[in-house]
Amino acid sequence: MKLATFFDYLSLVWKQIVARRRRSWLTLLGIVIGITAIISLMLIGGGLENAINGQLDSLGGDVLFISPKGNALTVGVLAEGVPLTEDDQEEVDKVRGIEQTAGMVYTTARIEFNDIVRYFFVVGLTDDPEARKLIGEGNNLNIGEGRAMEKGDQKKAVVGIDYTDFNLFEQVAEIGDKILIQDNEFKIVGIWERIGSSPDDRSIYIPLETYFEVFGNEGELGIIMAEVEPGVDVVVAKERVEDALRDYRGVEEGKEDFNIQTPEQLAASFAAVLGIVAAVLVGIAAISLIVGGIGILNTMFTAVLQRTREIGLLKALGARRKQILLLFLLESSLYGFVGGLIGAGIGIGFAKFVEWSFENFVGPNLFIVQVDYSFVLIVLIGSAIYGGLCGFVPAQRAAKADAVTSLRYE
Amino acid sequence: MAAKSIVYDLTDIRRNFELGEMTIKVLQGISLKIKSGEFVVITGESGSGKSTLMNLLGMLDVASSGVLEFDNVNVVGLSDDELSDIRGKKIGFIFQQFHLLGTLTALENVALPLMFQGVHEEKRWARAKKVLTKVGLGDRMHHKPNELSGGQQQRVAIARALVNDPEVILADEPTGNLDSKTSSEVMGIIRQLHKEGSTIILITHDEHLVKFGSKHIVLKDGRVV
Repeated sequence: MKLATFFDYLSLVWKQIVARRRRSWLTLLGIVIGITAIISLMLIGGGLENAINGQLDSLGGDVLFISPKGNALTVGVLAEGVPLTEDDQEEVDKVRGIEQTAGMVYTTARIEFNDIVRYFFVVGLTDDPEARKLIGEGNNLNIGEGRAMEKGDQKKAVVGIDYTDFNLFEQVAEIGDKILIQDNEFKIVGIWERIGSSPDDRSIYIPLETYFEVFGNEGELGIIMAEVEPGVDVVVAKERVEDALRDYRGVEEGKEDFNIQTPEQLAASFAAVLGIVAAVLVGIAAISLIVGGIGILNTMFTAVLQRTREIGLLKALGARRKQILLLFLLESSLYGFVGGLIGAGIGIGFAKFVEWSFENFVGPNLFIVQVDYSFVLIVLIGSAIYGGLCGFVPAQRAAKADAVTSLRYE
Repeated sequence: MAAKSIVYDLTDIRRNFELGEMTIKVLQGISLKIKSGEFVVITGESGSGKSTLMNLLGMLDVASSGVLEFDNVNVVGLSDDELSDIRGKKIGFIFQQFHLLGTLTALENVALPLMFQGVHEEKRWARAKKVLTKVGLGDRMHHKPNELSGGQQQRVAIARALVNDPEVILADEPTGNLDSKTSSEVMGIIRQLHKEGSTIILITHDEHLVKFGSKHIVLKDGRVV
């Protein structure tokens, strides 16, 4: 068939769809939701993966993260299990192949500033500059204003950059300001550069010793970071640390009450979370597409029935079976295509909105949505083919209709 | 097309309909010839079989037995698509209910049969404009059916029947839905077409239209009287 003829048919079918606008919209809905889910899944999933990989790259590949069991990602807010302590940290420090270690602990706390009370994370940070460097590398901590913690600091705090945002406490925090943590007065001595995640940028960092004074639980750590000596295999070092901690804490192999993760493993666990999110979205997409397909099928059956006389007329005017089949297939494909087009638009828009949100509320250049238009095109073509398939049976019914009975159909 | 050539040659055409166990014999052996350029009026009471005959002559339906030669070719036994091709190229239909597509303009409705013949777009529009002008709707080409009067709609349908330059025009109660004034307008156009040489077969129960024809066939109980 010539291309010109194809467009003739397309324009004929398009007029039918437009004339039945309201029904057409309802038909499109399922496909729109399905394609929106697929497109936003691809774009946001891709963006998150890039963001996470970027963050993990900045950690470096030679640091072990040791945390109490069952709490790999939400460090410090441990509800059960045996906490890690500074003694554990010393034990890890002694392991062959470990260059140095650093301990960190944090919890949510009552923060009062400018007579406004809010609850954010307070992080207990070592005052050892070398060890803090290790944590700093792992968390992108760089001093922006003032100074970092020094040995002997007490009741001094370094705050996240969000404290310089008027909106947080309706007052901009400055070096030298007093801030209350659980009713204990602290002096702000430094402000970090933007770290890039909202919870981190709203956290307050205080010396470990002071942390234990304020919150109790002397010596308990949320996470221990251990830097592996250059030239030592990370996996080997991890096994050694595991052995040491098992002995020290008196637990059997396989029943460890702690976790040791390498950046690769962290990446893997993030990927697993992403995988679950993706699976849910794929499920939504699949259900929507099935519902949408049934919608198209239903609409096309109704269309064939409603237009029985029209089909009879087309036959009288000389339309062959294939031509009528094509007309109805085009119509259902067009439903798929237009639904896909709208869905792709919404999906891209949604992903861009997420990107915009990240940029404005979390940090720039962290989460970047890259639209792969060839992928979008493939989705659109797939959506059109899917629509056509859903309308195939009704279209075939139309093509085989008998001219006389169709023309007389009331 | 030679002036006196035979367009239709029907020999003992029968059409039975199975209704459960019953066989209804609607046409019981019709034999007739229709020559090129004739204006044949077929009348009969309802149930006489004139609509069934019309469907057979229009190749919308196939005879149960007999020989129906159209342009010297027996069309009994041809496939659905082959019959479509004959309709599309050689037959123009005018229906009582007009049967225009509401989503298309007059011009698009008229050009529609040519689309199925794969006629090039520009040629289609040119041809459709020409026949619309011929039926006096040159100024209504871009109106949709619901913006036209009944008489105008039927004239659009006539234009559509003419657009493929058919060998025969089949008109099934073309004035059945029209008042007497627009009826005579429409009949005027059909008579004009006959004068210009078109072969016309008009099916009606309106005895007043018989006088326009050059030949009158009366059906009764599935037979030619």
